[in-house]
Amino acid sequence: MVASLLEAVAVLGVPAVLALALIARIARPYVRLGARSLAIATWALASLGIAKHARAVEPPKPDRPLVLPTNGYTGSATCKACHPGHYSSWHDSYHRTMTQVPTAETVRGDWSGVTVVLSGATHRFERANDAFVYVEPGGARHEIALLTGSHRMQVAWYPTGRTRTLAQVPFVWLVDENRWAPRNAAFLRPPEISAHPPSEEGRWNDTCLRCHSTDPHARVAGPESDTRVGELGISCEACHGPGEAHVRANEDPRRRYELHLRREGDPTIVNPARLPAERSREVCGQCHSVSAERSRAEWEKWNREGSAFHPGDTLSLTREVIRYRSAPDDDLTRQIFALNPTFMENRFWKDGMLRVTGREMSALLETPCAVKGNLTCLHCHSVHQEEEDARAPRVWADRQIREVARSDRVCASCHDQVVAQATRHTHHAEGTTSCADCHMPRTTYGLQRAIKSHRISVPSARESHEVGRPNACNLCHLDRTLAWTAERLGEWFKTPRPELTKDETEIASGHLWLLSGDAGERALVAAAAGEAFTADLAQLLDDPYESVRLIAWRSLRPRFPSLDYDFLGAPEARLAARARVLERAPSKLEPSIFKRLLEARNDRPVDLSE
Amino acid sequence: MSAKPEDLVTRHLRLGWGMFFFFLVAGAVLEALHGFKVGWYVGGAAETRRLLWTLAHAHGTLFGLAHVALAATIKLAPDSRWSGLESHAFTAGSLMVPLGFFLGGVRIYDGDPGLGVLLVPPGVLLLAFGALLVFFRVRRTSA
Repeated sequence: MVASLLEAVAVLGVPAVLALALIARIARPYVRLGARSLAIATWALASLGIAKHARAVEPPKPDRPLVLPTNGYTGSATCKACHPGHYSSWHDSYHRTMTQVPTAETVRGDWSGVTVVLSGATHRFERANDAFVYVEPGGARHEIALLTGSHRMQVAWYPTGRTRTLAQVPFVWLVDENRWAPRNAAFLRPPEISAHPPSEEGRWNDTCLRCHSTDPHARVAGPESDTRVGELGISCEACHGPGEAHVRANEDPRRRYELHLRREGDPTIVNPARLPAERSREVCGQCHSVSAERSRAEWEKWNREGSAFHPGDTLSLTREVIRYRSAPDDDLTRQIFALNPTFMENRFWKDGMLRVTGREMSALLETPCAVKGNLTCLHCHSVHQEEEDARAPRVWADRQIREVARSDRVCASCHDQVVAQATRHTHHAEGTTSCADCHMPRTTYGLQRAIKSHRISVPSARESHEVGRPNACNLCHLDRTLAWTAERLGEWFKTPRPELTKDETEIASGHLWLLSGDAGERALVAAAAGEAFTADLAQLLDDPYESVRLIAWRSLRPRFPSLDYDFLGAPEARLAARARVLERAPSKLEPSIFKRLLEARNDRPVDLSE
Repeated sequence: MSAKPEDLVTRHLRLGWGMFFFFLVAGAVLEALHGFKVGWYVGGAAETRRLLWTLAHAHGTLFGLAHVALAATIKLAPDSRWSGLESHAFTAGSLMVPLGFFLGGVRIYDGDPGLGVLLVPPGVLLLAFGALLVFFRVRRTSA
């Protein structure tokens, strides 16, 4: 603070004195300015300047994570000066808003004094001048310090008063639904966990910051923490590496123009697009993969010193990217299974395919196109909107898909013959299916949505029969049986036909998954189900899992816009809504079959760790 | 070496009003680009282009008026020894600066202007040289 004031005196006071002296010199023939009045004016001006400057450099609060670029990090504002275009498209992206300080612009939720009742207790969200305040049922008031997310949902965090440790407001704002929902209702978690959620105190400090901030240093010790980050949100240096040396080197315009004209990369900064495929994927994979430190000691080092991984490094030198195993087979997986026996099933299908979103590099690693063909994230996604992309920034930012990847052109760069003869390959009319429809079906779950699988795979009835995962054919043709799919694939591609059960041979796959599948399968298929499955979706309006109920309701809502339904409402209200839908659209299945399938529902607890 | 003051007045009046008209219209074009939200001008990636073309417009308009002022100066001080050098330096500089800004904005390197901007520094030197010569001529007349 003292240094800042001295700086303010130097910056503002000295010019003020010089300016006044000059004015006095010029005005001398007309006005006599005494030394005293000159001194008073100087003092007044300098005080004003100091007060203004002091406000601008308000010291960081000690009860929340400290934002301070160090270790060669400079912050995105520095990058903006030379890269306004890239800064602008990053600014449009949801990477930037992964963590933000709450302001009128950044807050998505309703903080106008609304109350939300959970288990009989009333929670309140209100504004107090510029602050956003969460009021606990007991009356304790917490000023919000940080927000995470802004695209699909937003979570609010408040200081616990224990050093820089934050606690989470037990509700999240669902952006599309425009409402508050209990934290665990926003995820696919077993109802018993959802009803009694574990405390999330300190979660931002030891977990979220890893991928919701740039250059994170957790520095957690029990309930206390001295957390600091280079920048809130995922900013330039998360993907390009620390920029200080780059900034220094490029102060010389001759160097910049030499680089511009030679069109070569700048060795003082990392450009993921110029890295070898594996290194490029790992830039994204530092967050978008299932990975962990190999030992407690490595975690301690990360906790103390921050990540040793910088873009361009080999990720495996810092963290292990975890592949699916049904049983532990090394030290790391032994530890993982010991700490969390359901770690694998919460993230992967039984055949190793990733089933949760946000970890896409793990899926790519199981994909021949990446392993043999050097496919990277940047073939389909662009972290900066490309110049030729005419879409509105908000549209591009939704999934950051490149213009070229909105058609089959990326696939055609290797599979040109197949794409050229797409109709012969797909046996579908021209223009009705894309490569991704069949090879990247929506079998990944996250953010209360079905999301495209990033393991590019060949559809089969076997995957549904053996693993339970909906296959690409039946996800469109839900009214067909698994046997029908096996028949078609066998006929067209000589795909081996699995031994199917009687139900798989006789009953449309949509009914099987919606009524008898596990919660994850029900959620995925509910997102795809149309009018033919109205009765099945109606049944899901009273599903034990909140997210399954919400997804089913989203599929029904366009056809029942006036139906009074709340996926978080009381069981009686949900049952009444279900009855009203069934009145208008009774099941086409025989009631006995419907009942049998429902009774056979796979009720194993599903807890998808997205 | 000397130039006829009346010739210089005519030259700078023509050039001044011509430039004023041209860069005024150019300003309207830039505003239209804003109005129609043309991506290569208003997009985030075009910030440098926007700045450079705004500078070209502003400098061009200002220098147009400066030419008119120079014509008026020569008219007011016809007895000064106008060599023509000040006129040429001022004219070249006043054209090079806005042209450099414009060309620098045609091809940009994100935060850096294109190589056309290299016209600006010599243009500024010529302008400064021309202005200095005008100052000395006028000073001598006053004395």
